[in-house]
Amino acid sequence: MSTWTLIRRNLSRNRLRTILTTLAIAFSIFLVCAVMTLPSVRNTILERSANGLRLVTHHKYGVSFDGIPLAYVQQIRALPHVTHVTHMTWFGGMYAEPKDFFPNYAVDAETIGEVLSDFHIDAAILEEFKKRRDSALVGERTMRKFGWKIGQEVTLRDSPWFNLTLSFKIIGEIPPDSAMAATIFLFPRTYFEEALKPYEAFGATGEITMMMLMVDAPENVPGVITAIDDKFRNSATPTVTETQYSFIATYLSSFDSIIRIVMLVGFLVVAAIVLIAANTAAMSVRERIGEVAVLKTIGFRRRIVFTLLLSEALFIASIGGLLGAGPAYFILNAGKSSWSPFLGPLAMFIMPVSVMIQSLFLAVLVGMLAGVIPSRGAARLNVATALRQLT
Amino acid sequence: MIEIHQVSRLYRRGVDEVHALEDVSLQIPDGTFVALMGPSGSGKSTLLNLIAGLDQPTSGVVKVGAQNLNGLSEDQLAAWRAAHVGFIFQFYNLIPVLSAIENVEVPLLLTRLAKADRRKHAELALSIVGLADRKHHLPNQLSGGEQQRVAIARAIVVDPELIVADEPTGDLDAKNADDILSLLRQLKSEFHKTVVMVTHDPRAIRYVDQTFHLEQGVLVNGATAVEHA
Repeated sequence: MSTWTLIRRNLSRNRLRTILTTLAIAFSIFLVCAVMTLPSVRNTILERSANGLRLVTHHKYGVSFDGIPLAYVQQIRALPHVTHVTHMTWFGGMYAEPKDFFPNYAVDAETIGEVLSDFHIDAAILEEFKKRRDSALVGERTMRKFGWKIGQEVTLRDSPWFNLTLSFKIIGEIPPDSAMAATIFLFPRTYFEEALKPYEAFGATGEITMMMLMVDAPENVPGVITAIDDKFRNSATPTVTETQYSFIATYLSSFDSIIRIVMLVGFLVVAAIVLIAANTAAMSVRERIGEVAVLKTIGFRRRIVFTLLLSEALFIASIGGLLGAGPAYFILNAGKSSWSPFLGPLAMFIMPVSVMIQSLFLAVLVGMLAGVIPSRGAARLNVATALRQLT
Repeated sequence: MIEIHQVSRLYRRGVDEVHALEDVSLQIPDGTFVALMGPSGSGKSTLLNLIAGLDQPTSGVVKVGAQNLNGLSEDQLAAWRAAHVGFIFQFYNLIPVLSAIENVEVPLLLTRLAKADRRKHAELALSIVGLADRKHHLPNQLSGGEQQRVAIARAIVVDPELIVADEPTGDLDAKNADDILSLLRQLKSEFHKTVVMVTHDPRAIRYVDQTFHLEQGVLVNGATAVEHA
């Protein structure tokens, strides 16, 4: 028999308790890995969505503040170094419940394929999109979420635009090559304008949410940005033009406080697990106080008793850490694999090795914090007093 | 030789002082089997703890062999116990998740012996107490008498000069109690161990060389030599 046998046998004393404690730590470490990887989701979205040559122009005070005139499109198209311009208008219709949100836009069917070439929409489908007024192109993830099929008719209701309800026929699926493409729902603006005709007197038509344009070369991007915003600076509708990267980053930064809250909750969960594990370790030691007294009686010194008991807590925590961080590493990095479609939002996570190493250290720290007080208490046990309690 | 010279042990319980031992002096020659007897609370377990290096006297001197135990630190006492003292308890106090042989091996974890040598020593100790064929049994698969034999094997496995036993027959029936007392006697006679036992069991008198009677912390009769037939 070795010291390791003694530790192992002590851990097998109450198998259910050991397994449950290990799983609790594993679960919390998995959660910590996911939480620590959350900021990477933002980077993933940016990397998958943003194109360095693509600019976004919207109202100076933000896309949610107001739209910009459709007439701007022609003016921008005429600027030097601008190769393609398209526009998108937020429709905001719902399919089922408000919580089943997905972005839906009325777009310029003639030009959308030129600017969003990285959506990889089939040329034949784009041609049909131009011809059919009620057609719709839908991101793969939204298709899957609602179980839609190509050719199916769907109705989006309760748009903020005069409570519009419109029906569409899905003619194509947008591959999930970018985060934006995966969920988006696009339909021709001509159809949208037809629906708005009765409200023309209220100024409902002639406005768009934003323009997207392509610049011919990276070195011309700053000049084009300045040219566009200077052009409309003194108009009734001033604009802000930014790279798509900056546009999406600004939008995503609004979620930073939520990410911080989620991270805080994640770490509070770990703190709770530390307390649970500490309680388990304390119970385990308390139940064996007689045995600890015997070990000390036969010559086990304080340091050895402390190490033995702490090793048990560290072992449980380490196994829990491995069971949590290992699967987390594979699941949170499977976004690029063939498993991606089955992972839902987890496909957006990219967990670096450094997070796995930090999580394993955290697991060891959990074991240390949980085990140190009961182990120290047992190691400092007065043998004569403890033995009197045994008899 | 165990030498106890004018030893007192005082405990404080709140504002009260409890005189567990008062001015006790005795000598136990090497290789003798002695019993400490007396009513509950007479101080016999306290005296045993002092002899075994589990406690320190408030005053007086405790010397076991060449070692004066007074003033040794807790770690020094632990090291001394590991090398020189074997312990036997009333309720055996075996580790329930370890087999008989693994329980016997526990004190050897503190030695520099290799794993294979630890196993050999443990097997020898178990064969001395007559349990070689039960070595893979867990404590709950053994009878009370067998568990106490395993505890005795654990006490002798490091080959200590001194064996202390606190009520070793207190939880056993008459037959098993006699067997255990015989075994302790055998350790004294065949292996020349000094055995100091606390007991209430009157049967013990037939097996020991000397008895010491304590009452209210005081040694009342000094040593009584016992004649064996």
